[in-house]
Amino acid sequence: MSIPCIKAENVTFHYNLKKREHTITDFSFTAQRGEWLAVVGHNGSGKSTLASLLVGLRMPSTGRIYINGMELKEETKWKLRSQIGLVFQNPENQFIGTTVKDDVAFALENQNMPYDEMKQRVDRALAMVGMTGYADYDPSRLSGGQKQRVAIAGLLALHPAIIVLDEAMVMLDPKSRQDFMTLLDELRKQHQLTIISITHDMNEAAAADRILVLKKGKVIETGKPAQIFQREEREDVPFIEALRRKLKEQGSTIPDKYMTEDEMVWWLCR
Amino acid sequence: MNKLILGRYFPGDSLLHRIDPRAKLLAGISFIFILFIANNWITYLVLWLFTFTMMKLSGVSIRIYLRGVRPLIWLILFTVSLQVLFTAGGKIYIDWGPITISSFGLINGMYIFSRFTMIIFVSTVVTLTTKPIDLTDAINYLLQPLKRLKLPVDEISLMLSIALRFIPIILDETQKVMDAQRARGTVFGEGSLPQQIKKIVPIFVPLFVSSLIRAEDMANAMEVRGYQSNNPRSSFRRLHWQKTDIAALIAMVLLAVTLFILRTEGHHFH
Amino acid sequence: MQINLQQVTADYQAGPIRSPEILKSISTTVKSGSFTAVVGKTGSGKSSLLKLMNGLLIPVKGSVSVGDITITSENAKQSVKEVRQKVGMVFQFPESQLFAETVEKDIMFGPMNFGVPEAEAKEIALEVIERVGLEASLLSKSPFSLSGGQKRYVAMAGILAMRPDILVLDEPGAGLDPKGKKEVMDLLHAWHKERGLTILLVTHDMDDVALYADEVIVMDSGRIVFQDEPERLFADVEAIHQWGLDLPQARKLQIRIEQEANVTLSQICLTRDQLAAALIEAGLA
Ligand SMILES: Nc1ncnc2c1ncn2[C@@H]1O[C@H](COP(=O)(O)OP(=O)(O)OP(=O)(O)O)[C@@H](O)[C@H]1O
Ligand SMILES: Nc1ncnc2c1ncn2[C@@H]1O[C@H](COP(=O)(O)OP(=O)(O)OP(=O)(O)O)[C@@H](O)[C@H]1O
Ligand SMILES: [Mg+2]
Ligand SMILES: [Mg+2]
Repeated sequence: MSIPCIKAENVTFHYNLKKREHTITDFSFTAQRGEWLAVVGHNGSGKSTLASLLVGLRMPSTGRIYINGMELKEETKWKLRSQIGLVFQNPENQFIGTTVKDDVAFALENQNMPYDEMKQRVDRALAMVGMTGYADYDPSRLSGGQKQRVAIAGLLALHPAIIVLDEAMVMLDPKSRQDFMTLLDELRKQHQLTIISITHDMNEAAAADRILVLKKGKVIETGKPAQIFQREEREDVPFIEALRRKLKEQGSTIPDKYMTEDEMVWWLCR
Repeated sequence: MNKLILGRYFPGDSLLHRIDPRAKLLAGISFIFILFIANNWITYLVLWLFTFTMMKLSGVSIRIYLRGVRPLIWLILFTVSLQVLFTAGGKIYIDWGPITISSFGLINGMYIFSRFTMIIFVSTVVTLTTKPIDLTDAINYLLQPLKRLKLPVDEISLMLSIALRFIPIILDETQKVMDAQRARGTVFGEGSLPQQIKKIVPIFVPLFVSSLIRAEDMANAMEVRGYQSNNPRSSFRRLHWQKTDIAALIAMVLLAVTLFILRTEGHHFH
Repeated sequence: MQINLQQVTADYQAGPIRSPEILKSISTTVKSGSFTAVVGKTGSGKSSLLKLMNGLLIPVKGSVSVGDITITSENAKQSVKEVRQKVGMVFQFPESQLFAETVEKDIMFGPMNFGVPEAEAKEIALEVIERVGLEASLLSKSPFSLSGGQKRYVAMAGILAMRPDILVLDEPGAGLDPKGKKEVMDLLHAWHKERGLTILLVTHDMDDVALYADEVIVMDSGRIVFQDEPERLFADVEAIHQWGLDLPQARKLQIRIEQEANVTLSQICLTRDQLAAALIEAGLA
């Protein structure tokens, strides 16, 4: 097997140096190139903290993180920055430019990219998120969903190899969210993108290749959606699984195993 | 303070928006000098025509310009009345010793009034159609020759642009904190002066804290998006000298020449 | 307490510079004691509609009445104060709602503003923080050092502490984990039932609309294009897609099953429980 795209080894982290209470405790995982990894967990379980560690905004107290085989350290983080992009949980924290297009161009300017290429990328990214008409707006004067779109455009323009989305789509309407999922999946297939998506939406998580479940700063489980959602102790499950459990409870003969939508429809229509 | 429109940017895509900020800045400054060429009603008429054309071209409604003059109207009227009252000559309508109202005084008053309002209108045209950040770029460019005199031009414009970036942020934060407190029952701008002051105090501490946090968030975002202070950066904002810019400057020269031709020789009213 | 909008037009102002019209001649009534969901595309004007009801956005034309108070562009200053005592608003971004040094002080701010003594405000803070499901130990923390979801709970606690008659919430479920979200929605629903609280909330989750709302408002390009019971909305599949919305998951699955199994279930199912019951009744499961 090739070297993993991301590898975290026994990472710990705490915000407060005085208290010995860890926000991230003994955290290990790997992600392969081209993989879609969903990160789920309760509020305050450490998902955003994990995201900031992956992009080198904060450094682990102990343990190591490797990106494409290179260790993430103070000295190497700058080199790795162009390979990994993050959409913050609150898009307002992300804006730097005074207009939408300046903001989308910001990361490109930092790479000292020639103007013509920048222009092309910015225009394309804005078109992909459907914000072309807002190129000259002040990002702070947009609606919630529009802000999230601009934040995503900033990331798409960068063409990173790894993207980390911290609940980046919660304020989009159902149709746009579906469109974005499709768009990201296409990009992933085309460019072998690795996607790490932090989410509370179990249906979205069910579409991922693998799920990482966090609890109090620890990975308590990783596995394919079927493995994770099948376990009965797990309360937060996608709609289909919730329906299956309900049917079972009402005395149905439905099999006692996790099903995808297709499988369930097939079973019901048998 | 919120009423002042001088110095605000109005997003748009008019012909004037597209002119290079350097050309606009030069044209604006030269207009102030050109104003002094005018000395009879026909030259002032030409200037008014010019001013109105510019206001129209900016695509911003005239009402907004008028509202922009309103906060300064007392200052203008005060200066104008001094002119009217203390200029003698021509036909005298009222004569109270040193205070007279004469035809020269009235005409002079009108000219002064015109000059004031035209300066305000034209500089408003410039700032309304130019992003503050572009204006700093332009100032930086135009000040370059002063570098030979050992003036710290780059530092000055860097400070200017940071200040420009932070003013809207602070205003934004103020708005947020005030809205947050409004939503919990505080009413600003009501009650006696001490009461009003008492309400302002709870804004300051949070404003200070949140501005600091905002600055930190912004620094984080800049870092994650690959900004390194001493690395070379390309720029997405471009100063593009085009034909229209040359045309704009030629228009100013033409305006000056026209005024010279139409000007009355000899008479000076100030 | 009823909310009534008449021919309301509104825009955003930065000094004398106005944005294009955001809300275009909106007229509507939100009935007293109703649970209304506001849905619609990104940028359609949902947040702006909510801000009108709390006086954070003032109508340029038309009027907004809350109970017997009326806000117009002329009398905004006086009326807005009274309105805010009655209408509590939770913002779309919880960060923009928090400002005090500690969570406790933040929650106490509202009640103390309305003259509640400090000791009592402290008790209220403790009570509401537990009601929204957070640990009391968070009270002494700075609101800025919380996770995204924790901030959302605190923002809600701060508004609940004011005991408003009307609650308007802008995407209250965004950023909450499924369990927490359900608890919050159940809490709101319970208060709505027990205390007759009028609730108006923006959401993108059609399942919540089906589960909790008794009325739904659809916004599109600054206009209200639909206002009726959720069942009616979800009956018109074509319009739903045009407005950027979706069907509740149960209904979507029902349609698929009906097509593939070539059956018709006995009722239109908008929730999981309805669908489970209908499937068993039809002998499919
Ligand atoms: N800047 C900070 N300083 C101190 N503590 C913090 C800070 N940011 C987060 N925390 C704490 O660390 C823990 C993990 O926070 P984190 O933001 O990573 O959670 P999360 O999993 O992203 O939650 P959510 O789903 O609510 O966004 C929380 O208990 C939070 O209170
Ligand atoms: N402060 C502001 N200044 C100027 N325009 C604004 C401001 N806030 C929002 N807008 C504009 O008003 C329109 C409606 O915004 P609003 O926030 O009401 O939308 P929304 O329906 O809540 O969308 P979302 O679901 O994305 O939050 C948008 O086109 C937006 O760009
Ligand atoms: Mg988070
Ligand atoms: Mg909104």
